[in-house]
Amino acid sequence: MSDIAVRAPTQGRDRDATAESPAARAILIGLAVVILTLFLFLPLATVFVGAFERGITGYLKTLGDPDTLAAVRLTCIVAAICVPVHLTFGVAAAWAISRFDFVGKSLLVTLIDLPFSVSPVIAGLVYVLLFGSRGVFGPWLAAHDIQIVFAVPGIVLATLFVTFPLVARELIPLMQQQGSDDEQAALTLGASPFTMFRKVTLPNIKWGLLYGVLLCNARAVGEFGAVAVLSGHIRGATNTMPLHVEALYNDYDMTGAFVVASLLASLALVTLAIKTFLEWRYADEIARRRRH
Amino acid sequence: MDIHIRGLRKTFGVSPALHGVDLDIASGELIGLLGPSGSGKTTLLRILAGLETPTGGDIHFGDLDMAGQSIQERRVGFVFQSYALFRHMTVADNIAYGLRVRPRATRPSARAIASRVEELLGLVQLTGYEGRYPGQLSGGQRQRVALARALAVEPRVLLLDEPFGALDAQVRKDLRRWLREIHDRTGHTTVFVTHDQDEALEMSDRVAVLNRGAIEQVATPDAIYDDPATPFIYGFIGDANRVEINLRGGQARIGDTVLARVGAGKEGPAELFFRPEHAAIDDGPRSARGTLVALRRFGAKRRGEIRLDGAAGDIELDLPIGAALKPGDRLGVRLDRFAIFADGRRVSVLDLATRAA
Repeated sequence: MSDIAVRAPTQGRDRDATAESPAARAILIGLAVVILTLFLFLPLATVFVGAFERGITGYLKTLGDPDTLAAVRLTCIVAAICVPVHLTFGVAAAWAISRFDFVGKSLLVTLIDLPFSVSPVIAGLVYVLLFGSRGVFGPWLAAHDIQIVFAVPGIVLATLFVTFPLVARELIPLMQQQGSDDEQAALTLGASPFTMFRKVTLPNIKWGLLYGVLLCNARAVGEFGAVAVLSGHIRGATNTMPLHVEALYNDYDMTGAFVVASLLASLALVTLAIKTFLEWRYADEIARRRRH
Repeated sequence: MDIHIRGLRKTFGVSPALHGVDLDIASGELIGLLGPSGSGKTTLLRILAGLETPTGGDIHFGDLDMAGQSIQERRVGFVFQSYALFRHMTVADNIAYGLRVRPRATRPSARAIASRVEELLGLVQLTGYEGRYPGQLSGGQRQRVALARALAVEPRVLLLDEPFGALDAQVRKDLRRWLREIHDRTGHTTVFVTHDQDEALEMSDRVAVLNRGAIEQVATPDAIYDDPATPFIYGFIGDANRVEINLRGGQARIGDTVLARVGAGKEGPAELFFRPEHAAIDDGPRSARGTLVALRRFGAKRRGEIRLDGAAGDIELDLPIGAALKPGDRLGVRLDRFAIFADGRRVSVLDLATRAA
């Protein structure tokens, strides 16, 4: 972008041989701006305008609705379970895959990617078929009075499934690329495996890990499809924020829907900001990883 | 500390990486493991460090059996080709790492660590760089930090895996000489791996040449170059000519010229090896006859390609710059030093310079 501005006064005479003509450039940039405005900025602005239709007080009042608060709470609980689980699992899986050769390694890699290729709705349905009242484990669960489908455990399971690859997928290429020389050096210098992990491995992967956690959190909060199948839509009990937006919308409560949506949108903006910061702070390592 | 390796074997899956390596390394010796890729040299080094577990055989550091010793207990200094510096730590923290991770009881005081770091920075000529991060150093400087880090823990042995493999030719040359000096000053028993014959011959007290998971020869650089024990070493180190000959009646001949007596009972095809500089143009009775096929300038010398009568393939030979020779000339070639191998075993060595046949 910046070099376009710098070259502008002398354009035509010493332009890059591979650069577009000024007219083509103007059209391309204009097109991009129009598309971004139409499909990104306008909808985002609409969400916030709609949310604040009744002013700050109206916004806060809608937000204070018990069902809405319950949805926010449930979403936080789901994220608070999913993120630590995948933080642990992701590091363990990436460690195993990048450091060891074992039978079934490529199968494990494929399995980690599976949630990316399966529709979330199907994932939700699978859990219904497994744990639902007429499902494989249904009778047993009913006999032991354990409720999974249409309850919080089901929502957590569905979210765990769809967020499964995010942390591991960030770390595997990074750790493969870094190799294990640093870790072996630490061992030869007398470090215990735990010290090595804390002082060498973790600092080496921390930005990638943070990036993965961020993506995992965003997905856990925003997941709709899989959770929709499993939640049962019980207001104040099993509605997460995205589900609650839909429920309010179906009630023709546009303001309410926009208020909850604005929370989700804000979270997305914060995620985007942190992501941009990470990409800037950690540009070289991300660039290296993208090559894979 | 002296190292004794006996019958060391290592198998990866089904493919053997080392079969039966024996090697004794004297205390304070600098020994180079030289071989092509896949020869097992790095595997041998990593087994010494405890980074790989041998399939069989044993290793002693002095009287200490390494079999049950973990990587940490072995106290080896290991230097990687990739430097493997901790990128989030300063140069000083990198060097101090091995001292700081010690259990509290044996850990030196902060002041002792600082002075040790200072001393090592001086040794590797990086005083003033303690606050830098590895990313701010050149490749040569990084490898010097890696060496200082390895030396900080007072290792029993120092192991270097292709230490200069990632560096520019000029930096490499400087570091070779410099590493040799460091070694002479600190006196650590040092084993390094390289595929670069110049590096191995220049730095080592002795060179161990590996091929396909076995040691072909362990000897001083002079002996490795002048007196290779196997056809592989002739081919792998320096230039060499290979001539297919026949042993008949206890004699090795090229055409009609008798080169050496090999003793009765040795008959059949054999290989003769000699280095281009160990032969000369000479019309005397001990010379093989041949035709000059081509002449090439080769640095300070002139190389001639000669087709010997009664031998397949052309040989290369250093010729005097001034000699009036042109392709097509008939000439005699006197071999001053050569070795004859039958079935890969050496049956005869001749060195006219010392008159030993």
